[in-house]
Amino acid sequence: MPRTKFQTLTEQMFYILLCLRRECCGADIAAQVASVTGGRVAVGPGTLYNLLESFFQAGMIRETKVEGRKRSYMITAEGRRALEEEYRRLQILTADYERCTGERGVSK
Amino acid sequence: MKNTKRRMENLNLYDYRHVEDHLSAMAARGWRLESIGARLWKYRRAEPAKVRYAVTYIQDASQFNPGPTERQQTLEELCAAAGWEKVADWFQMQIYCSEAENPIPLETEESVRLEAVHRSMKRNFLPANIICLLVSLVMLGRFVRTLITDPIHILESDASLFTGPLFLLLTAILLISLLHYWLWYCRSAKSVAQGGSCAAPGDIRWVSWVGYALLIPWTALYCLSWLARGLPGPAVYFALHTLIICLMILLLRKTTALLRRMKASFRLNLFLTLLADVVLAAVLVGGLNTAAIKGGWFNGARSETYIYQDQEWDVSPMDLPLTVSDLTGETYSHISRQDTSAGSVLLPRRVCREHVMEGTARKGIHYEITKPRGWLYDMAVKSAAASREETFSYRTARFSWLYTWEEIPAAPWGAERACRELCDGEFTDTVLLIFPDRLVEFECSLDLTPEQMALVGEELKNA
Repeated sequence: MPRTKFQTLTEQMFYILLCLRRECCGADIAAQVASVTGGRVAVGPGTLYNLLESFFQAGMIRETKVEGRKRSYMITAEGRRALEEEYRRLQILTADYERCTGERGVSK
Repeated sequence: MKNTKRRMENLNLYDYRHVEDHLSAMAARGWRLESIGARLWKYRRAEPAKVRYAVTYIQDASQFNPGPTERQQTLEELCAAAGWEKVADWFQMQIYCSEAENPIPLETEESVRLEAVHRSMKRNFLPANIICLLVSLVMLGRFVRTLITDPIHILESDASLFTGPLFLLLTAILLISLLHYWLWYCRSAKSVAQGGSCAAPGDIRWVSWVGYALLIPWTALYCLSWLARGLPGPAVYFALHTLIICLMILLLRKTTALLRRMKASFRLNLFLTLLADVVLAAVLVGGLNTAAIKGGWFNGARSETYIYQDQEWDVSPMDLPLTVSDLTGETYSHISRQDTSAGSVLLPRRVCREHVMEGTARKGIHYEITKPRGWLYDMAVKSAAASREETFSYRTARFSWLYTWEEIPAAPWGAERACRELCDGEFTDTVLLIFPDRLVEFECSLDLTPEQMALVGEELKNA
C-alpha cells in the first residue's frame, strides 16, 4: 500500500528539515546535509528543489527571505512535528533492534 | 564547415534517460545542444568532450513565459551551486550539463523524480494526448460504423478513403504512447515503492518512424489518385494545405518567441498567439479555399461565362457526352454546362449537367456515370437501387421524403436494368440505368420518346 506523503521521511527529507531548524538558503542546505552526514547523504539540486517545493506546499517550511534568485527557508511547527515523529519512529526502531539483538549501539 | 546543425529528435518528454544519453553522445561527437525549437533541436560545434547531461522537471515552465519563472531561477541557482549549467528547456523538462568528473546527480531521490515527471506529464502530455485520442476514436468510430452500415458512402469518396486509415494510424500511435507511459509509470512506482529506481522507459521511437513511413506514402498515394484521374486541382490544393499548416506552425512559434523576447506576460503571449492562429488560419486557409473555389480546382475546366436573366451562361460551352440539343435536335441561345469528376479511385464518377434557354423556355438534363471497379459492381448496384430517406428539420418541424425505385422496361434504354425513382410514391424525372460496366443516374425535364431513350442509353453507355 502506498505511503501517505511525508508520513515517514526519507533520509534526504529528514536531513533537509533538520538543517532548516535554522534559516538557510537552498544552496546551503545541500552543503549542510553533506557536512552533517560526513558526505554519506548527498542531495541533488533537482531533488532539493522539488522537496523544498513539496515541503512548502505542505506547510512544513516557510520562505523567510528572497534575495535575487536566492531563497531562504525555515522549518514550521508542522515541519517540526514531522521531524520529531520521524525521530521517535527511528528511536523505536533502534530500541526494538537493541532489545532483539541485545546489542547497544552500532559500530561505524 | 557549418558550426551549427538542427536535428529532428524523436524523443519522449518523460524519457529522461534517452535525452541524457543522447546529449552526452552528441557532445562526445563534438555537438553541444544550444536550444530546442518546435520540432528541431539546435546544436553548435564544439571540441568533443565528456559532458554529463541531466534533466529535471518543473511544473510551471512554459514557452509562453516572458523568461525563466521564479521557480526556474531558484532551480538554476541550486543547480549552479552544485556545478550544473542550464542548457535549454523543453516544455517542463529542464536540461543541464556539467563537465565535472563526478558531479552530484541532479536527482538523488527516485520517488521525487517520479513525482516531478508525472506532475509535468499531467500538465501537457497526458491531457493533450488524451483529448487527441478521444477525438481520433470518435472519428474512427464514425468511419468504421459507416464502413459497416453504408460502405459505398466511404468507398465513393477519396477523402474518406484517405482519412479513415489516418485516424486508425493516429489512434494506434496515441494509444501506444499513452499505454507506454502508463506502463512505465506503474513499473516505476512499484520499483520506487520497493526502494528501487524509476524503470527504464524502453524505446518507442520506432512508433514515430513507422508513423512517418506509413503517412508519407499514403499521402503521396492520395495525391497521385487525383492526378491519375486527370485532376491536378485537388492534389495541388492538398499539397498547398499541408504547406500552409507547416508554415502556420512555424509562424506561430516565431510569434510566441517574439512576444517572449518583448517580455509579454504569459496571458498576453497566449492570447496573441491564439489570435495569430485564428487570423493566419482565416487568411491562409481562407485564401486557399477562395482561390480553389473561384479557380474551379475541384470542378475541372470551366469556360468563360456571361450573365443573362440573373443566370450564368457559357460563352463557349464545353462538349458533353449527351446534350439537350442531341435529344431535341434544336439549338439554343443560352447554354450552361458542367462536367465534374467525382467519386473515388474505386468508384470514379462523372457528373454532367446542362441547362439551356431559348426565349423564356428552359430545359435541363443531369446525369451521373459511375464506373465501379469489378469487385464493387454488385455492391454499387445494390446501393444505388436501395431506397433512402431524406429529412429536413426547421425549428420543431421535421420533414422527410422517402425515395424508392420501381423497375421499368430496360429495352427502350438499351440497358440491362432500368428503374424509375419515386418520391413518397410519386414518379420523379430520374431514372437509374444499369449497364454491364457502369451505372447511370439520368434526370431530365423533358418527356422522352422511345427514340430519345434509346439515344440516352446509347450515348451514356459509351461515354
